Amino acid sequence: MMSERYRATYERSIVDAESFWLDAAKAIDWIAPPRTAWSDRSGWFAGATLNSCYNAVDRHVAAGRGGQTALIYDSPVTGTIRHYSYVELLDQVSATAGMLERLGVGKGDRVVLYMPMIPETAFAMLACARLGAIHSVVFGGFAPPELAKRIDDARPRLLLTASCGIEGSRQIAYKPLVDQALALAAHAVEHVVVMQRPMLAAELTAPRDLDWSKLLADSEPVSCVPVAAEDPLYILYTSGTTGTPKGVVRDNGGHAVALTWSMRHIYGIRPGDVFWAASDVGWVVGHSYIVYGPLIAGATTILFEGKPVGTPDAGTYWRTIARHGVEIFFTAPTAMRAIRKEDPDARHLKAIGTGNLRAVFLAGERADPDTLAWAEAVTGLPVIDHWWQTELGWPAAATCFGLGDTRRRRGSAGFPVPGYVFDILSDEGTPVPAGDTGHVVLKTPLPPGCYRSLWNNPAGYAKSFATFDGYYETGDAGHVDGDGFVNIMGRTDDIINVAGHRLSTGQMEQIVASQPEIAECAVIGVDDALKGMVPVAFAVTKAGIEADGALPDAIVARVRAELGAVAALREVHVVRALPKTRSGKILRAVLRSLANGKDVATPPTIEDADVLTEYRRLFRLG
Amino acid sequence: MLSAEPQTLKTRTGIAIRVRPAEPSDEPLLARFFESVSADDRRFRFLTATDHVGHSQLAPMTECDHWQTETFVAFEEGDALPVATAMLACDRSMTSAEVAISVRADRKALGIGWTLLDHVARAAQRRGIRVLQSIESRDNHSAIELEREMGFAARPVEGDPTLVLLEARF
Repeated sequence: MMSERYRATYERSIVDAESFWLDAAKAIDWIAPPRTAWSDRSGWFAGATLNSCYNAVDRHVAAGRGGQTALIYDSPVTGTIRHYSYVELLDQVSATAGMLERLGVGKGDRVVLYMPMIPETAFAMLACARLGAIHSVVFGGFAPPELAKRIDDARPRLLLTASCGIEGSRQIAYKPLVDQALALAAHAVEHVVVMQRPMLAAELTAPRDLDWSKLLADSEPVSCVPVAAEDPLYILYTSGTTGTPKGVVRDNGGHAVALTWSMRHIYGIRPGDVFWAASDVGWVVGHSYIVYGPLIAGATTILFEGKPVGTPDAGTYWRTIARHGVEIFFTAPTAMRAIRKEDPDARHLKAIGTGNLRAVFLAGERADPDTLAWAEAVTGLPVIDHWWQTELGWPAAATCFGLGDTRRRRGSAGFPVPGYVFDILSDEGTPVPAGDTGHVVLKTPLPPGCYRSLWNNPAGYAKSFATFDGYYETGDAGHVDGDGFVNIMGRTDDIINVAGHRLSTGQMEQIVASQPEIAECAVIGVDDALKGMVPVAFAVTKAGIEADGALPDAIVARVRAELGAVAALREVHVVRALPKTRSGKILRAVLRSLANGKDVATPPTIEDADVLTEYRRLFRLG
Repeated sequence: MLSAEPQTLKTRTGIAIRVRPAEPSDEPLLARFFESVSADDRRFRFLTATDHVGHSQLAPMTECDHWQTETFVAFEEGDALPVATAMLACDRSMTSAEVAISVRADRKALGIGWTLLDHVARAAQRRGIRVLQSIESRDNHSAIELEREMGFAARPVEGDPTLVLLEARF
């Protein structure tokens, strides 16, 4: 039976976790191999030492596969395609590490990367791992104040950036943003190393700013530094409620073991296979499945600089898949929707074909059944929704295609992945009746690869384990259906999912409320056919202030300047009043429903039902 | 006739708080109070994140009729800045009411919230209220725990997975 291997594997991972994970650890090259898997005191693989870069690069060369393609850089926005074999990757990464070492980077030092999707970004991440340093990649779509917050929290020795990123046909100059961020930050970096791209030259100010290519040309390769399994590999900041970003810390040992296991047993990738995750290295999908996962597994990975549509058209993804012989493709539902919108009959796909593609995986937000059905119909392949979080680092619910399981149910994220035990709990902390919705929690200890701390924030870390004794609180609500399919339905906090990216509505509200004309506001996630959800603001002006036509634009600009393009408000409605309860609490679900075009029954808790009249008119309801 | 005289209450930790109803003239005081409430607690109180609480949110709290709507302000001896506020907002028929409490960030976990909630529950009962409700963000674990301990029952809020409704019936 096709699911038998999955069932047996899952059973063993829970009943005999210790030997399961020690077995999985054999796929990694250790300096000092682990003798225990989990220790309550010291975490995963305590006492073991390794180097993640060695596992991603050096060992493949040592094993005789130096000639195999490791990384393909495909950039339709610059018309560039470059192949790097494992030997070439080793050269680049060890020279980059030599460059960083010369600048004083050593084990435990942080290096912040604010970089576009170019090969140097991947080289630099691996170079940090090579030195036992801790990288923190900040997505280029974040504005200077957000970059400054991360700099102040991580306190990096260096900041690495490039002269520009490319958004479709536009160039975004990165250096001025970095300069602004460093001016805002309290922490001073020793140097800013800038990769000058041919299309734009950044202005460098000596002695702080340095030219990457010049430094690199002068560097010597360096060897891998041994690190403990529990030593941090990277810090990745993710949206926390009310805007203070959480610095998720990933360790070296558990991460290497878990990712390798997942590449083979979830995605079905073997050494030499071609794998493409169409994401950005600024997000966890990019960390796990553009850089570390495929390379540690000895596969070929694709670093794609472009978009699903418009670079140049809706056929880009299929063309890239065919061109490079991609066997497993991973993208976000929003990308699939964008392609479908441009090319609903999939004419491009029909002309190009699916090449060597065996399956498509989707994650980032719940894949709506409609999009899934379309994708499966046009590709003729399994399209597999699965679920995880930045905190976890690798999938927690999925169809383990690599174990021969193909069972799927549209709208569901699949089955618990080996290593993870799901429970659905009521507010009281008791298991809900089968099929009922409740808090989605994971039994502790979490499997290898999952975060073991937040940078500088032990209290923040402890909070996620404090509500339900013995469990990690995912922050999502959901249910498990009668056949065991896990369904993740939505956040239970103020986090919303916009185009697969996590944003805090609380953070956006603080910014809107700081606009001088505004008395109070609410930022709500409103359903969007393309992005899944978009942030919309409802704002009330202070008494005596007349809102003019420029106010909504000013508010949108303010959020963009503070947070970045990643958090663009779709719309700002200046309203007379917000719907509230008698104590003054804003009825957010009412706003959301009306903004989604669904009228609401007057809630019994509402203070003034007449307030809803303005909204019904605004959204043309009733 | 409800007394507008301040009452002194004692918390389980032995702290004495003086509680009196708010007046419109208290608006600036309450504005300063909310600045000393944590950002999370401000968000939990109004279900929107804001750094400052302004007139549009304070006026309904202070311009009340002391019957259907009441805002209690609590002080500790020698401290001019309130240590906590509690609003009791009843429906017109005076059968059900909503309670909303905020405690200053530096005076949390001292039993002040509990004592004030107990005080408001009694005031509600005296006014004939049968159902007392608190609408909490699911994130507000300490408030949910406190209300449960006091005998409020938790229920999901229809259409909003981010909220939980806590209800006490008299």
